[in-house]
Amino acid sequence: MKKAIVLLSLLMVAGLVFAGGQQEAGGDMGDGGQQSIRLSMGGSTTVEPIITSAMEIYRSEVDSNAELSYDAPGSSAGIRGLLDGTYDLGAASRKLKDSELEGGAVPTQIATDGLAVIVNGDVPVDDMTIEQVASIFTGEVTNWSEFGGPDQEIVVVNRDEASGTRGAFLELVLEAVYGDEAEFTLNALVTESNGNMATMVAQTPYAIGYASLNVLPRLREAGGRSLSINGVKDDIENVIDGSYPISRPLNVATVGEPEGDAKVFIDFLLSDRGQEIVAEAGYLPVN
Amino acid sequence: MKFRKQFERTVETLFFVSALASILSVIFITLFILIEGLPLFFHSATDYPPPTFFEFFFGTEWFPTDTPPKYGIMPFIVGSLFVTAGALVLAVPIGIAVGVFIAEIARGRAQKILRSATEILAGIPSVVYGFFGVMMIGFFLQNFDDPIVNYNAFSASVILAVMTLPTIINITEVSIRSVPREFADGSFAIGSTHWQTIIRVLIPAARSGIITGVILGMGRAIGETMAVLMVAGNQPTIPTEGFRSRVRTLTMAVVNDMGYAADDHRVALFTTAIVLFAFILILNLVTQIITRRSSIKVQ
Repeated sequence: MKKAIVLLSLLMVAGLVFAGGQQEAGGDMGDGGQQSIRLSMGGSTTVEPIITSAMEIYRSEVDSNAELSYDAPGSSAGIRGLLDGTYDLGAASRKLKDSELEGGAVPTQIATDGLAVIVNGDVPVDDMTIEQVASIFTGEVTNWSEFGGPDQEIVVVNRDEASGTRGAFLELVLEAVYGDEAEFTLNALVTESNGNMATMVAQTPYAIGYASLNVLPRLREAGGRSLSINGVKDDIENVIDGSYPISRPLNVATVGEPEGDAKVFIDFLLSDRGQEIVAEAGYLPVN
Repeated sequence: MKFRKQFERTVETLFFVSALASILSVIFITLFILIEGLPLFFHSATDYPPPTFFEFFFGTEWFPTDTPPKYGIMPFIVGSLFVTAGALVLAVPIGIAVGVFIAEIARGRAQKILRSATEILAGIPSVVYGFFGVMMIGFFLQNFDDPIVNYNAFSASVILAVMTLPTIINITEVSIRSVPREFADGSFAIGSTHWQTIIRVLIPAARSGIITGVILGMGRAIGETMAVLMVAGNQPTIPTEGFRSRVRTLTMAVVNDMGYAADDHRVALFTTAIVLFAFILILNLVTQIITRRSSIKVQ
């Protein structure tokens, strides 16, 4: 028994020593002669394709020693992580909320994105007014027969609460039509990423959802379609000239004005090469 | 000689430490979720009062990011119980039948193949079950004249039923086998057929074991997360359209929100975990009571 206790405490001490060593090793990194940037980033699933390919290209073309990482738990989680100190850079696929700006987050717009209203292949409608779209997502209209379609229930697919795409859609469509009190219907499937939204809508009969423009190729491949809004097709050109009504900024945010490593990476995102990456990912460059 | 003794001592100590580690893990995890989850009822990070026990358990609205926030987990409790009940309705008859078949009827190769198939079923990762559910059950449901949305409580129950089958089959088989042979012999001696012996003698005699298997299966179904997250639809309302309704279970609620939850919302997820933990604890206690009772009876 005595021996057991001795052994146990030995194990614990060993554990502590090991943990301590780990931390120290971590702290030493980055003090080398070279000025490699080190950033842990996180946020929107919409911005994820931009940042991940920018990270790859930065490492292969600018500095192979750069330590860059990106998590995609959603815009709100990204900005919260930034303000908590978990991330050095947060990404949001919407305007920052007042509470986030008050917390000290400073956004830099790196791209513009249109939001497409997407439907399953069964849906017999090609065009809707923004008011009609809003009436579906608030739950006021629940049957396709209201739009001249068959007598089938409208299956609404929504994003989770952490999603910036959800926040942007709420603001640009629901609140724009019904005012600030507008809320999504609860009678909806909930999914946690942009890509999964496309798959779900394409697979579910009589479904309607919304997603970033860059998932449209995947959506069409899976058998879904996107609607034109107020008669305007969701083309990149129409988003650029502002005639397509649902578009939003993609932001990265820092605590205070960007400086140091974060500034280096943001400057890369805004450079010609960075904006090329934005365009390749299916979004609109800002300059 | 001395070396040997010392060696044995060391091995014994190692085993003791391992045993201690598992007990400590249970204690620490329990304390951790209690410490993290219980404060929900006592203080709030916002200006609004914290939810009462009643509001939390019986509230039907889950709006954790609204002002004021609403933390009602009734939809998730109902969702968990609903899909679990559905799974048991499907899995219990099939599981008992298969267990009895392996123990009593199948012989030789058929028995071996069935048994290893059951073992393989138990080893399939839940994400694979979930993917199968999305693809196959959804496909099946859409081929009705009136297509049914593929994400619903029915899909979740079917997947959970398949996942609980191995537990029910195995334990049924073992408990049928452990019924003393004299019982069956006596039954045959008074002229019963094989079928009558199974139904009237073996299954009743193995009753407590079979019930234990069902309860363990139920535990697995309530705790399952990944597979149900992929097929159940994740809608945070009380199911009202039977097996067509989309549900969110307790486990799904925790996974869905944990990536971004902050402050009270995060605490509420731990409180949800406490509820889940309590369910599992109750199921385990019931199992222990049943097993103890039956062992007393045999003595």
